[in-house]
Amino acid sequence: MADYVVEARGLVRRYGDLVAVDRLDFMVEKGEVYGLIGPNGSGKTTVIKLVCGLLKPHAGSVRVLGMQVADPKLSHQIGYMPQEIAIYPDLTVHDNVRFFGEVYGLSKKEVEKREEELLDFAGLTEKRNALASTLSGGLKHRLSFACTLVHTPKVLFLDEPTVGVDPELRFSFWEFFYDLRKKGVTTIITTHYMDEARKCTRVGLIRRGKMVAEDHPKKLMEKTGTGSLEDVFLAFSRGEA
Amino acid sequence: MGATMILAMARNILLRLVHDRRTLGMIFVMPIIFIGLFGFAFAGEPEDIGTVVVNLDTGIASIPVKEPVGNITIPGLNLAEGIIDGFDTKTLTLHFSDDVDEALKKVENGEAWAVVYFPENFTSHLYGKLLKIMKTGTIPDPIGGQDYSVDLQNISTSDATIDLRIDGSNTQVAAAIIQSISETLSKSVEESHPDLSFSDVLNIRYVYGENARFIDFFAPGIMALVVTNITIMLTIVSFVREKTNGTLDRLFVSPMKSTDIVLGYTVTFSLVALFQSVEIIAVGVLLFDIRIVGSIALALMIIVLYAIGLLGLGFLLSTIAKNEFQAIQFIPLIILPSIILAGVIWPIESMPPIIRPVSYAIPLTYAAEALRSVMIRGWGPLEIGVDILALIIFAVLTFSLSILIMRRKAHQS
Repeated sequence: MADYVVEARGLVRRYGDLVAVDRLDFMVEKGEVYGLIGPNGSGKTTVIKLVCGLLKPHAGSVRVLGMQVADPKLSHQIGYMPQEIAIYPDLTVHDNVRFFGEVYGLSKKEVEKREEELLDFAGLTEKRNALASTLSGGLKHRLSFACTLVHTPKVLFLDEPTVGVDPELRFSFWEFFYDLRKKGVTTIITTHYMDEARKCTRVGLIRRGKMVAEDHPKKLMEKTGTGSLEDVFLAFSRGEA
Repeated sequence: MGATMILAMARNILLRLVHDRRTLGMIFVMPIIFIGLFGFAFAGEPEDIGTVVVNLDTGIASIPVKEPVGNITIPGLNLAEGIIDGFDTKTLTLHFSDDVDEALKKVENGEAWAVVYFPENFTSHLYGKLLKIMKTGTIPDPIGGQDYSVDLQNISTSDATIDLRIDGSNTQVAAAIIQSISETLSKSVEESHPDLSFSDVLNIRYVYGENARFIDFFAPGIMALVVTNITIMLTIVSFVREKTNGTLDRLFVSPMKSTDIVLGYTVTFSLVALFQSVEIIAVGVLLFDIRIVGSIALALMIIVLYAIGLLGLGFLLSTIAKNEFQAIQFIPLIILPSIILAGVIWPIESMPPIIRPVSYAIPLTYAAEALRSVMIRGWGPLEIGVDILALIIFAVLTFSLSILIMRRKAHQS
């Protein structure tokens, strides 16, 4: 049996009568960039929240890095970036990064080192002392991502990290995901941009809370005899595949 | 500009209101709460003011006469009883005691607002005083013999006054006591003896709050009220923002515990409350010359304790509210009853008995009471034990509840 980084089995989550996630299984191996793709309302965000412990499943189980999600040791290993930009607009760039570093128990020196690296990557070094609220939309996204990475997590849960981000920044984000992959970081990402989904090592197609297909993007296209992931998705949605 | 556009806009706003049920509820409920609260609070004068009557008056007048030299005793005058019977028992709730020291203790402990003390020779000396004022030469023999000529020179009048000892820490209650007793005295004394003024008979002394002005009574309450307002507002707004920003979710995934989050907020906002209280005291003392009899440090500690409870309450409300707009609507629901019912502006004694239990369910009541006791009465921590206990219960309750709810939110089950 492979050593899975994320191991979700039979996940069920209901909101009242609505079954948002319906007996969903998925496993992610180390170093994968795993894409959860699906239309709005398909349950992607709920799945991300279930695997990073923000929601409790009504049935099923999740293990991350072999640990229960509730295990306090696990929180040091995972990084979560919510759909919202999730930074403090009334703090400076520096204060935001420092705060999240402190939240993860980093020493002053470690924070300083990580801040330098991350601000450099995010192109925010010059904006270090600017209030986050004064940054452009793209820069806010970068800061949010920098805050997610400050404690050097082994697993990243990114909920639509590139929504509203310009193509150039989206491109640099993906380069970075691949850099992290080389370092052994596992990334689980939700998206509805099909061009991004194509860049994933594996994708899971979610529709009405169910996993309808899961494979490498290319293989999915081959299976369905389609030329794009959009078509793959439509094929599965219409039940043609 | 055109009628169609104005109507379109108006309909747009109306529809949005209709869809937001909580706001709609507020629109209907608020006016009722407002008028209800003000109606109750303005309803009357202070009532049921606990007053201890110590009546040691024998009720017998003993008047010195010249021939034969000696005293003539007139029984059955009972002037004190006559006055006590005339007391307005709606305003004053009378308790009776034979021990003036014990009665005074009750006022010192805050169990009663006033002591009305009639000394042993009250009837005798007051009767004598009347004879003196009226320069009465003779009095008839009580058993029907010859008239006696009164020895006006040797009449004692030292016991001819009623001692009224008041806790003046609540200026309105104190004023109501004095007014009520003065009215009774004018009826029973002045009407029958126009030469005598009630002020000749009444000797007022203060146990607490001598020369206390309304602002002295008002300042501690205002201090607590400002802290209520700002702390609740700051907590609700910043915490709901934390929720809507997504930063709270980030924290929930991090190693930070719900308790860390709540305590972190507490440290900062308690300091804010502390700073505000110092500000109010400074302005109050420098600009309005408010007098502080007790320990300022103790007063500030009360404020911080109260602020901690408020923070807990703010957290609780934030967990209910979905966004900042909804959260802000909670503020008047907390502030308004506090202003009106907590005895900050109008004493609780002036509210109808049926509404008083509500006052005692409002934490501000205890904070304001404790602050007044410290600042005006000069009480220490032991004397305000009950208030402090109430504030501790408030803080523990709201805190444990909000941490509990937040833990549930962090791992929504």
